[in-house]
Amino acid sequence: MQNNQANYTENLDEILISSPDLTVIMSSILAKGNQVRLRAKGWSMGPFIRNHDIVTIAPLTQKRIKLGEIVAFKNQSGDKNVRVSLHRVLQFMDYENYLIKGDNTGNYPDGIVSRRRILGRVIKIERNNRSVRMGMGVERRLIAWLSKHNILISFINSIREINTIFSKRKSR
Amino acid sequence: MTNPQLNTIYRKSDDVVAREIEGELIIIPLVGGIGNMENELYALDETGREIWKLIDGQKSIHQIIDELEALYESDREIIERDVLGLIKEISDRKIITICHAE
Repeated sequence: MQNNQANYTENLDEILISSPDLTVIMSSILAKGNQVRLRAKGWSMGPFIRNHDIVTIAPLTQKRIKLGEIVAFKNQSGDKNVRVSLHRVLQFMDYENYLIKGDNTGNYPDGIVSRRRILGRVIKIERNNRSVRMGMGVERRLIAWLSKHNILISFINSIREINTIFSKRKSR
Repeated sequence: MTNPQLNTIYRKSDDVVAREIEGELIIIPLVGGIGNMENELYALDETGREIWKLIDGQKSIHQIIDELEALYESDREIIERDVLGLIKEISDRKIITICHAE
């Protein structure tokens, strides 16, 4: 929201706060039972979430996490480097622990993530002012399986090639 | 919104998340159950942060101005202008709400 007459508040155009601080703010919003809407950064979930897509994250509440859901979780490397990642649930290890991985992170899963590190689930993806549904519906189980076996990106590339071939034939 | 009156008492809205981060106060209003960090993220400047601390549901705007005048060597007129200005901005955005108005 822009207000040309605002003198005491600054409307931040983008999130300049650091990742650990982002974790704190997101946790606070979600803990109150509210959703968070923010711009995603990075390529680890391409093509389903692209750099600069806007995602809406809802609190987990009591609902079960489903296979193939995209979740926001605290991703920590080292003592202080905590950031929020949005990646996909590939497998239930048990009721409280999940194998999670970015769709486009090659053969590098995030590992086993406990439910208490999970802040919320992605419920909406917006790109160019439109809602994106691909990767959020029932196909998410297939995506999770392909990702777990590290063949998701090659599968997508094959689909794109086939699509291109058919498009060329159609245009002749 | 009309300009706030000096005897009005404001409090911080329940539908707001505010966190001090690296010396800045970041405020996100929760509108319709959503904290929109994409384009509804506000930061208060130094003056704003001081005033924010005093908005507690107990003090009127007049009392806030009195406290700030006692703390800082500044013209009362300037303090009053700043307090009223901030309160109008953040109450327009529903970051604070009226407890009591006269």
